[in-house]
Amino acid sequence: MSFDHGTPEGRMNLWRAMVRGRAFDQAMCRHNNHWHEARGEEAVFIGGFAQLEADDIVAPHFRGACAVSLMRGSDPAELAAGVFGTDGSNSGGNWRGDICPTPSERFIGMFSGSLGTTVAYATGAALHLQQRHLKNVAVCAFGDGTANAGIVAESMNLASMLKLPLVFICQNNQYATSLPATTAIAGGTVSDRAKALGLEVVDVDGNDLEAVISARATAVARAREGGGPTLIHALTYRMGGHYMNDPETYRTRDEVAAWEKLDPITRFEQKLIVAGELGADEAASETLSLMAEMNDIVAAAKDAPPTENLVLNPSAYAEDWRIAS
Amino acid sequence: MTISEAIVAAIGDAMDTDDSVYLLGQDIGIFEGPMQSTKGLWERFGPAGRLIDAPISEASMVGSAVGAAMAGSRPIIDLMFAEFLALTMTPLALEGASVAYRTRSGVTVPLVVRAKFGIGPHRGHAESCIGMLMGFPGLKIVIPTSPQDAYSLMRAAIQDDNPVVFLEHMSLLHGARAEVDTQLSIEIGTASIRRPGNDVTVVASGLMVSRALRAAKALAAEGIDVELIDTRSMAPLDISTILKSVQRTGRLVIAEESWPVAGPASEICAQLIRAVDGLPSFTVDFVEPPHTPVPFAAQLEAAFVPSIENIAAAVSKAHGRNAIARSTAVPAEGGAA
Ligand SMILES: Cc1ncc(C[n+]2csc(CCOP(=O)(O)OP(=O)(O)O)c2C)c(N)n1
Repeated sequence: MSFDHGTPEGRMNLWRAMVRGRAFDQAMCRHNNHWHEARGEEAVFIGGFAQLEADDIVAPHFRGACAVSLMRGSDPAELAAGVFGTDGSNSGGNWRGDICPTPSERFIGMFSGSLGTTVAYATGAALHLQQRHLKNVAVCAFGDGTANAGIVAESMNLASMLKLPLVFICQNNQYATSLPATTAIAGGTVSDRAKALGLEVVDVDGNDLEAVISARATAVARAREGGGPTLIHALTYRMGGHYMNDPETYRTRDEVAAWEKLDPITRFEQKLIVAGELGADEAASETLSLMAEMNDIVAAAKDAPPTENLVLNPSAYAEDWRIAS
Repeated sequence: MTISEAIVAAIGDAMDTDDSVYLLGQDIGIFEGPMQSTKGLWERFGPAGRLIDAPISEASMVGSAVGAAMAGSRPIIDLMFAEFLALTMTPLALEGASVAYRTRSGVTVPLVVRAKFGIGPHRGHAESCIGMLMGFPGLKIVIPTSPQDAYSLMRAAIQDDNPVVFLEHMSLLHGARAEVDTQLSIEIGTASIRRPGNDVTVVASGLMVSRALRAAKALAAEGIDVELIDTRSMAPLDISTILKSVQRTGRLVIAEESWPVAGPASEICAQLIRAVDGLPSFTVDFVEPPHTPVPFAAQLEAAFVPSIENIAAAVSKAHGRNAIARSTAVPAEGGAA
């Protein structure tokens, strides 16, 4: 599927990917009170991961990972089953799908609740691509909070030193749970840090899909040519709470309302409407039907019976799972 | 070859035959690795970029190896010293070792982390952190004590689809030379009987194997016949070889250089007790360091790590005890005797 934003078809696909991603996300908010809502950050993760090749390796931030997976062709029903850990999930319930879809060789997930390590995994994936002389790249995203983890700085340094084919995207939604990035990122910004480590750095408006896309396109092209890693620092906003039960005592309603006006989906949709590529009614009705579709899929996944094989295999070794599955 | 040369040879041979293998570590290039851990490899693989000098960033060295392994490489990380393993536990043990389970082997993490440990000529960095490693499901832990085991087990570790921690004892690395058959394969998870005997079973790994062997020689003169088992890998643990031996001798002494709490000795005991359904027919004794950090002063360090004399004394004491039962009284399968 084309996500080339230079063509009307690509632009429609991008819009649809954002709407579908949000529809899945909002259905999860309705049916799963452990969910971490991604509303408002779609331009970063759709723009950041669209238009890559199937063999490029991605490691999205947990917030938005399902939307990236859907965009790369996942079946939403299977994804939803993974979130609830029921029989329909491709991990048989062994994977914690509420934070990230089950991984594959080209999709790096979160293997525990610990943030930061996926950045190292993406760095290693890029090293693998470089070692094998492949023209592919790795793209990874992480939050402003995660940016403070030591392993992120270590990985950026390694990537920069080895000129790895890697694009880092800081999905700066301005809060790590309750701690503002302006407080936590002492000594400047994530961009300043990345510059100090020798990375190419670009700051973008993270609510502007096209700005993210063009920054990503430049960074990916550079990485494919052997030019080394780039950090895209995308400023955005988390419109929902950190998770569903967040009392949100650390911010004001006015602040949230101000950012709601900058909703990345509405912004991009308006552009398409003004350009005559999308009708306002068409946009509204397609959005509604995608919302309903995802709601049905998620509701069905939630009601699915729990996994039957409670403990299929008492070993954690790879060879023992090959026999078992 | 020495153990060190055997390990380097195994890595070199694996890199020759499989170009998805690369080696990353600190000072492993022109410097040829701390204590010559990569001697000769730079000339062979440096120009192709398959030997990579890493900055001090252990979490990311191992984390990037997990990512590369998931993508299809077979990385080897030279971590210098096992005490640095503590810096890498999230990517290596909590997550890397869980990947096969979580994805039902849809994604695997074939990587090797080499780390030197134990008391030795280098002075310092003695901690093996092995109990910590053993706690995480999905990791394999190898400790070779002969050049042949070092070669064969390193080849097996590189072939393995799980993360393997390869612990290299600093007192043994540059010790005795022996012929190595590069065609001989040894499975990770199989113990080796270093010395057959009838009176007391000693289970050991690393330096404790060579010390126990010397203790056994001294004890033989006193008429005590020691059977010495080298675990070779701590995970998986070859409990059936140990069990068979102790059911015959009736007495077990576990000699360990690492911390006594939640470590190899505790785990060997727990697995034995489970295997006999709570009815051991053997006594168990321990020779272990105290539960303290490893002291630095040479005399203190020497007192901390079990000596040949400590092992011999423990075996004598065990031998003096009445074994609970001998092989004739071993409980029958599925029931108490
Ligand atoms: C290593 C680690 N420390 C703490 C946490 C707890 N935690 C979960 S989400 C979160 C905030 C993360 O902030 P950020 O990276 O900015 O992502 P965001 O939630 O804003 O998308 C924290 C602290 C964690 N999951 N992992």
